Amino acid sequence: MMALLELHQVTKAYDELKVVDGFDLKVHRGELRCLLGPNGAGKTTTIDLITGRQKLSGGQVSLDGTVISDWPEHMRVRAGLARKFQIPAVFKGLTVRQNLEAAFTRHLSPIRNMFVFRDRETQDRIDEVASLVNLKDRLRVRADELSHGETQWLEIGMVLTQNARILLMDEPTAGMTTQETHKTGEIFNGLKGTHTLLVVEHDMSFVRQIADRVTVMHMGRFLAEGTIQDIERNEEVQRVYLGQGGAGHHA
Amino acid sequence: MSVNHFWTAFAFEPFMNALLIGLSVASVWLIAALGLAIVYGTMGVINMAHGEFVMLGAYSAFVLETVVGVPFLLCVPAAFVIVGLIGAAIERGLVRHLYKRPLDTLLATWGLSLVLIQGVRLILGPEPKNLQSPAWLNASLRVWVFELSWFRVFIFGVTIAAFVLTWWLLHRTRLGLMVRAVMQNKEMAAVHGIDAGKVFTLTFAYGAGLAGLAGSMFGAIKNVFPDMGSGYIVEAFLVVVVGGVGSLLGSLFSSIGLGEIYSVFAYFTNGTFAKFWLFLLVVIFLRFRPQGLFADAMARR
Amino acid sequence: MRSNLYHNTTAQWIVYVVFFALMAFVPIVIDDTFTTNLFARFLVLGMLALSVSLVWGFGGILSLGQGIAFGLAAYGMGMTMQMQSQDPESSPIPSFMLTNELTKLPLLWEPFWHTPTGIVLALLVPTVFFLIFGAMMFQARVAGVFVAIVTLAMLSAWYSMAFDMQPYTAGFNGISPPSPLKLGEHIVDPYSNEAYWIALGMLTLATLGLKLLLQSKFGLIVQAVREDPERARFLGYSVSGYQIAVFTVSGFVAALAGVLWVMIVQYVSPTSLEVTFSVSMVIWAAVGGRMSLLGAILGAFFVNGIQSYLGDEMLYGFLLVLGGLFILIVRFLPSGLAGLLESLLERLVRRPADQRGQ
Repeated sequence: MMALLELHQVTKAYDELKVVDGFDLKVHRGELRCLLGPNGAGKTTTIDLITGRQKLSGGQVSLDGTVISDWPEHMRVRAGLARKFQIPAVFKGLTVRQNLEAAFTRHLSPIRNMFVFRDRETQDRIDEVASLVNLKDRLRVRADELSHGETQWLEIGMVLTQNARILLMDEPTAGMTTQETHKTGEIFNGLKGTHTLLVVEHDMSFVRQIADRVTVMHMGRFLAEGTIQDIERNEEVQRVYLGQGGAGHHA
Repeated sequence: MSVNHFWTAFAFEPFMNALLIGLSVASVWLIAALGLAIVYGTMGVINMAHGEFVMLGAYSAFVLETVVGVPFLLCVPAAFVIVGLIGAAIERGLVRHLYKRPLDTLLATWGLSLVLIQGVRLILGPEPKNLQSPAWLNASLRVWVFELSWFRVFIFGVTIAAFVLTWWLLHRTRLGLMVRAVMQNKEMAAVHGIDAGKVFTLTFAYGAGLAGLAGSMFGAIKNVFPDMGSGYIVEAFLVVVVGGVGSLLGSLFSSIGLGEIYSVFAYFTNGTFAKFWLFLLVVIFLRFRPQGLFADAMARR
Repeated sequence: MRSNLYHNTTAQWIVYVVFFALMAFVPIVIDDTFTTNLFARFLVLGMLALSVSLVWGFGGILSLGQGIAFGLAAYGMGMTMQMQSQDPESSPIPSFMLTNELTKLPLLWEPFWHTPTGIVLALLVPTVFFLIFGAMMFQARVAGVFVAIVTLAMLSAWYSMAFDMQPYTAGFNGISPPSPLKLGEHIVDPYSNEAYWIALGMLTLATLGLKLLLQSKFGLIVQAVREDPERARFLGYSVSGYQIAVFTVSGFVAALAGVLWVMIVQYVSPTSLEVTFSVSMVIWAAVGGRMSLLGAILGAFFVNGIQSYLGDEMLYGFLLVLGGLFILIVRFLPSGLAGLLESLLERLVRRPADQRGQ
């Protein structure tokens, strides 16, 4: 089966320093993949390279067999990539409902959208997503009144509403309480099978809760891949993490 | 004006003088813009009342000269000090509270300019006042084909002096180091014990002072009247924007460029028409180089 | 959780419709042609505040150049009405041109012989200008205070143009068409109730049209762009496309105001392109509440009402107070009077909840 997202020998170098170095990755449709690695392993850079926020120095990225690595950012978004940023980015002055509605990108043209009004389909989709991310009771609230965890959920919700083919989540639990993290884990588990996700995380207990397969990066390179049990038993991974002071909660 | 004699033909001597006038215009715009450039570059504040600081400078010089009897040449530095103090008070009382909202500072300072214009009009009357300058300043200087009044030369000199002084303050003094530190990163500067609030007050006061200095001279070329400041504000903004925010050198080059373009256009057509094309050119220029001539690393956008 | 009545869309529509319906009775109640004309002027100024509210309040674009659209349209309408008083045979060109040594009607003026063409041009030219100007700015990603400065410069450029092109614009004096607007055989008397109702009808259409526009997906994305352009771009929207569109629509509304203005005052001069006038529009919208269309309109009524009540002798004092008021509003009440209403209604909602011990 062809992978939905495929990274082939992806490299990012600043002069001599290779932040990502010949990295390969295949994510299949309906899979939830965790990308793990100690600080500075090149995880966020990898996400930047996939979305086009940074330019590749070598290698290529393909989505469903099409090479997208020389496309501009917004074309990749339109092709089906959606990203949740490390620091939550929502429209603070708008309500939760409006945020989700803005993310529901059926039409993009300004002129076309002058004649698009809130309809049943949009409404249903928003309600569906809102209950998925525990914000059903908060639809009328302005985004800047949400707690930090809720803001993260709202952005996850926006990424979901986009109906993208693959969701890239950069540290979705950063700054959350243990309870909120657990709830986020439940959200992600609910997405398995219907959505394809690539999740960058530090928090091991969260990864244990959600991961099917885990890929570990170290110094910009592929280190290991397997189920969470495989990874936790892997001696190389243990050595890398012990050098960093254990696979604890870094955020 | 008539359409028939709209265009002026080229003639060597007047054209060379137009180029010289361009430099003179540039020096006026630069001295008007310098304070604005520093305040925007350091604090990210668009001060719409900057033109009114120019006006206050002219009135301070006028009051000092006619009421107190201070000679004109002393009124110029005095205007710097007086308007600088007013600027410090305004920074403390108003601008300080709006740092996080740049559009709102723009509007609030516009409200302030309205208050200053009308306040002066109510207290000192709407009629234009005459600021006397020494007779020798009004004489003309002639070198080869060039002819210019000593007053223009004087403004030229003061502008260069103010520019050099500003550059020196910013790049060769401890105060300047602090200002540049705050410009680059307010939080980091605070960590190193720099009081950003104090730096901002000083910067704003200095910018206002420069406007006051400019006003004391402008008042003597033309007249002193309550809304004289609005005649400089747009040009001053354009000098800053075209030069590149936060770049003193950029302001220097853009004032020369804009002044020359204006003067040459004005030579062939007339002043207002030249201004139209100048403004249009600036808008087109910004279309292709929105960061200005000298894109500074510390530019805020 | 109970919601704030202020945010209830149905309630908003009811308030809007009731407001405009009540405004229709104003000329019947006052029964004094001078005051009727004054109120018609307020309606037009309200329309300018409306355009500012759209572009600045909702679009986050602080345009100090709304006067460009207003002024260009006003000149177009002034030229149209002037030409209605000319005759191809007996008096082919306006008298101010004669005093400026013109012997032939300039090409620029020719289309204005025909009234419908003239009015269409008066609306179309400023709108197309805003489209091109907006495209230049927003495609270059000019944003924030830079937009304010660039629009200000453009406005000053047009001002000096209107001032200086004396043979074409009558310069400082401006154009004062000798007789009121004729539509076919019908004469629109500026002091009649009819003129007032035309202005009110247009204001109502413009306001309800914009209200509808803001409730569309377009309106939502315009606001999203205001909040965070980067995020909107990352959802796949063309940020500059939305900015250009909202800027152009606001230009059209200001142009409509320009046309109506000359119909009501029978005069146009470079003051319509003055910087002070354009910034005043921003003040009206800020006082009433830039985030509320109706609020902005009421802000224009309020400020201009006080100004004409105080009269010309008090003008300087008034401007002093206006400047001070503006500083206070920006500093303490950034959402204007509408924002005040919003927080009052919010309290009504919150209080019962507080008593339940939340």
